[in-house]
Amino acid sequence: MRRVYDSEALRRDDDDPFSPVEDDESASRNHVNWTNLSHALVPQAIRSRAIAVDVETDKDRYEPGEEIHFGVTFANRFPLPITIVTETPKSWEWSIDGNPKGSEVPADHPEDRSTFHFSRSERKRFRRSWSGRVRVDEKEWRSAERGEHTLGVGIDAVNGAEKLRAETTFQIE
Amino acid sequence: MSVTDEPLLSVDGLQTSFYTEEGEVKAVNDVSYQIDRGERFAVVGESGAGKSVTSLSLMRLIDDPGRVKGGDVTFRSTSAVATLARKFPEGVATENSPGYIHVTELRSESGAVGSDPGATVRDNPTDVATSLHDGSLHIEAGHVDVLDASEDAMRELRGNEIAMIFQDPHTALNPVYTVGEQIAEAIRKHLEMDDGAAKERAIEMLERVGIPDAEERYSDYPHEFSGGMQQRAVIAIALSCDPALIVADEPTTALDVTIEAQILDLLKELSNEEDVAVQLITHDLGVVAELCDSVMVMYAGKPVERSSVEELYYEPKHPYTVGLMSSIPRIGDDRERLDTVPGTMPDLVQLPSGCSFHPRCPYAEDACLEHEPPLVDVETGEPVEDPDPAVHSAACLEYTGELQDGVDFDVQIREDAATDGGESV
Repeated sequence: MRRVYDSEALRRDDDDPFSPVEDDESASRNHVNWTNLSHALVPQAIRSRAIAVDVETDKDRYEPGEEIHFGVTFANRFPLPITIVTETPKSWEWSIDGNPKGSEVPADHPEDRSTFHFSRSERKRFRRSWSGRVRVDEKEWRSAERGEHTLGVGIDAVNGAEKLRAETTFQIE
Repeated sequence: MSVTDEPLLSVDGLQTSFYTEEGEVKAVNDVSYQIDRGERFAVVGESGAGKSVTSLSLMRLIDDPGRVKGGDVTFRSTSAVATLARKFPEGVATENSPGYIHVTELRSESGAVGSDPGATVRDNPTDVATSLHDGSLHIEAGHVDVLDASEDAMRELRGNEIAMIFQDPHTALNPVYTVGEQIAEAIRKHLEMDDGAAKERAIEMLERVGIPDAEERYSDYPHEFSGGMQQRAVIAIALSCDPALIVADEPTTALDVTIEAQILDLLKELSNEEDVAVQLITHDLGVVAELCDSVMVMYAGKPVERSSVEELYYEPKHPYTVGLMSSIPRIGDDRERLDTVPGTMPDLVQLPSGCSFHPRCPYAEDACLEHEPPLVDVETGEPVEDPDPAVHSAACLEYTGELQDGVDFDVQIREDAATDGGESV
């Protein structure tokens, strides 16, 4: 029976490209952390321009009580990794008529900054839904009024938050 | 109220969230309960109900991206207060400065000590002792605010005062250290014993959890133990420093039923004989009936029912509890198929409006979509502010009088099955 140490599986040779090298220091010297480099070099103003935000509902008109399904897309337009610094650990938030997650109760996220990271040219897609009911108190909801409503999506970025927003409207009939 | 009348552990309005790219996952959402000394308290619910995160939060073992957002965890143990006050005098609260170690009653050899015991302890940390040891200052009553404690103070509390039995012994034990060494390490750290004494105590602990030939097995590695023996070794680590509270996270899930019975007997014996409080996390209602005194049922990060074990089994009040009960297989049951709770746990990133259980509840009405029921006393319908274990409470609009048709289920208790808590719903 052939033993594993007889197999030359662990033979190391600097000249043979198919075997591990004796000294892998050169490999580690070539390693560049592009995420950190990009984060250090790309100016804040450009970072907020790099990310395209889009939001789309599945229909334009809904019956009262019907659930509103929507898709959110964040796309990095740059061929570089981009990191957006956010005010809270919450990467992004959706809102109905300016109320986060359709709730009139203020959100209580911790006030420590965090990051929302995109690889180069990365698209992030999220599917969400809203029940069509507005939270008016900790434990109370009411049906949304008929008429036009605005669905907004945004990243609460420290710099350039105004560029990282998108809106759409829909009708409840 | 003397210290022994107050619960050992009070959890009040605990909130823990995980911030992911998907959004805020509200794993624990306003959970309150209390555990007395020697009490066996169960937390039950489906996978993803927030049972383990509740326990990890009180041990302060939540890692990034998780955050404990709110609430209070109060641990009332005079020995914990004495140990922490001696080692971290800067954390003792006085009348003028905040802190996480609170000394409410202090005695010296000459009698009770002044109006601000915290300041006395802060000035004389080396004299602080419990009534069991010699010393000039005895802490008679006090508590620790666990969520405000420093990381070093938590390291003193964990393992020593609050011990945890983890779910999976294969991952809880380190494969490259002997089992004995892993037990002795905790003893050396917390009880300040030398190597020889720690080894002796570790062997004692192994014997206590029923490992045969403990002296020989001390130097075995975890892979040389069977699954049941590994779990017992994990329990031995938890017991090694005489904790006041053991948090057992599904301690018997990985074990066969005979070993499970032995482990449950061991936990029962500990709480009966040494007044150790046990917080048991499980999804096995049979284990709860076997071991526990009181129980909290969790759903989607919130408590939905809280009561004594007898009342929960004989008179379940929340439709989710009823669903859980009816999904237990029973010997002699003539049903073709087991009833299940239809659907799955909701996405914790976007909880349903109103009662979180309404999409799965057979009794849901329009009111359930718009009102989230608070935990109320099932007899009076009054909200339960203080988690009192004697009060049977449930979070369902049925008990606040807001349901029109009400919930309607029968609990049948069969004579032959009553001994093991069996009934069919």
